[in-house]
Amino acid sequence: MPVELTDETKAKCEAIIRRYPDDWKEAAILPVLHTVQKEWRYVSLEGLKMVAEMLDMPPARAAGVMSFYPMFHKAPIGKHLIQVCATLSCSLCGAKMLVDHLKRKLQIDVGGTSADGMWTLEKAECIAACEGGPAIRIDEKLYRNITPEKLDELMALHATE
Amino acid sequence: MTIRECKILTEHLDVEGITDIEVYRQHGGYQALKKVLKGMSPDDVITTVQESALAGRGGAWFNTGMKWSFMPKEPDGPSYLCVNCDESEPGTFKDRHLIAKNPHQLLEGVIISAYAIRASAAYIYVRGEMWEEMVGMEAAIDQARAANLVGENILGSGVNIDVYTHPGAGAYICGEETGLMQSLEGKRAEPRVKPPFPAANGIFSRPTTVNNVQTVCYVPHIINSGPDWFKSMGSERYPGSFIFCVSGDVKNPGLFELEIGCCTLREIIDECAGGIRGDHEVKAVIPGGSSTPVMTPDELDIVMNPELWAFPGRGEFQGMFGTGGIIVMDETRCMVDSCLNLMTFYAHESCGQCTPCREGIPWVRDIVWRIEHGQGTPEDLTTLEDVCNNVAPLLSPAMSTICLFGPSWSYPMLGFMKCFRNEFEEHVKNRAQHA
Repeated sequence: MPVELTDETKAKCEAIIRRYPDDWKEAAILPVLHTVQKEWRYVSLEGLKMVAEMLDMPPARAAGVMSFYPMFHKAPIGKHLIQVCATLSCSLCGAKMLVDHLKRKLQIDVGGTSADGMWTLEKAECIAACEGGPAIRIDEKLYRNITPEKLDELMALHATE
Repeated sequence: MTIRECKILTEHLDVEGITDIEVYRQHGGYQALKKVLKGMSPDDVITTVQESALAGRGGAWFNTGMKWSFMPKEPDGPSYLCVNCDESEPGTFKDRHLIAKNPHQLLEGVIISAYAIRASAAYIYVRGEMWEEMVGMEAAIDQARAANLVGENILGSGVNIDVYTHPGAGAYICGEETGLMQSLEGKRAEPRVKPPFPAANGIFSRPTTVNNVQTVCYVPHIINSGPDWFKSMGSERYPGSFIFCVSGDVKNPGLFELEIGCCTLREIIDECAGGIRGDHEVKAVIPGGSSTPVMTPDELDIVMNPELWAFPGRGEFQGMFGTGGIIVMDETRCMVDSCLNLMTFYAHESCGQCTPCREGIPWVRDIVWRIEHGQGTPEDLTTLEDVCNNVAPLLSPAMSTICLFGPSWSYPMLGFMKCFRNEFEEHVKNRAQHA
């Protein structure tokens, strides 16, 4: 488990903190958590303590904030995260078919990670791409109008990253 | 009626390279900002926007210039502008296109709006799921900073305005303006009790205005072309255009920027969005995002002018205009299943601060789940209505929660029950068929 952030991540966090008033450092917690999670793929308890220290806030409060926001993972996830939008417009366009396809293909349930550690599958609530349902995200990239075939192609593409 | 396309905000979305400041400038970009800094006081800008009758497109339809006028004229410290780009309402997807395809249009609006309200900094709150779009926005801000359009002494005017992005992290409630402010302060996004209103006490305990992306994007156009130009389009009370987002069972889903009040809901579905796909017929339409009560085919000839709707114009039509997110469902769709989909969404998104909502919405979701899966009882229907009415009766201003999230699930739940009660009853009656 990593215990030190890279200098690059630290510098990024410090630049983020400067966007907010001097006596409101903790305002930076969401972008700082995103930055840490980008390096480690999740935010461990140690990581959370580090963030709290950086922002001069009690670790318990930082934990309270982090647990409110679904995008933060407190346990390791796969190398790539696939989120299938499950809300109404995407559901009308076949989101369930994609979820079923992924469950079969990866032999996991929603929330699980494939045995090879490559893929974590999540259902997402509306990701604001309703015109292109069913829409998915792989890591930070949005894809619209996805079929099981297209999904296989995209996964092959991301797997080589 | 005649559908009148009216491309104000969407005119340049597909211009190649418009995300670059030079291309944006070639298309008239940053002229409005120059005009403002050369010869308009902050109050001149407020008056111009107030005269244009621009109304907040986030769903409240409150006069934007009026909202700005509540900000202190001689602030004794920093004031702030927050731009709400936490677009999360199911059925709505216009902000994503506006910031991805033309970030400088928003940025120019942000700088002018911040100048008008005498803000020293602006934060654009972008939902975490729009990460790529946020990165694009940051690139635009960097370009504008290099061109001295953001930062200190903008174009030699002595005006200092900084602009930053702030990412959300997957919580719908951050789209509520006080939830957004809590989140920007690094807290759990539990909405605040109003008053105090943001203009008195907003982020960092300072005067703050929160505006929607679409609203702010209109500002440079109104400065360039004047309030009379803006008022020459749309309806008298709500002039200008509006971007409708159509999704679901239609042939041609997408964004359509139309004059306000120029056509009916049916015309948008049939003519703009190409009608229902396959050989199907329309069964149900959610008119303005998932929080607005569902409508039946016989109601679709209502003109899409907010004045006529119970919300926000207190018009006669018993429905909510909402945020332009039109979700269309054909006759093969089960309304109990669709309702369950939305109630699952809301149960996931309740912030948990108010008991009626924290306890109510999981309860509602569980009951609808039981009904959908052939385990419902006749009493369940009564309980559903009872829970919802205790949170917020349909289209009534009464509510038992701090913020509008309570009504935003009780209205659609009651709406489904009002329009499609027969389907709920059928599920309860023929349980074996649905088990």
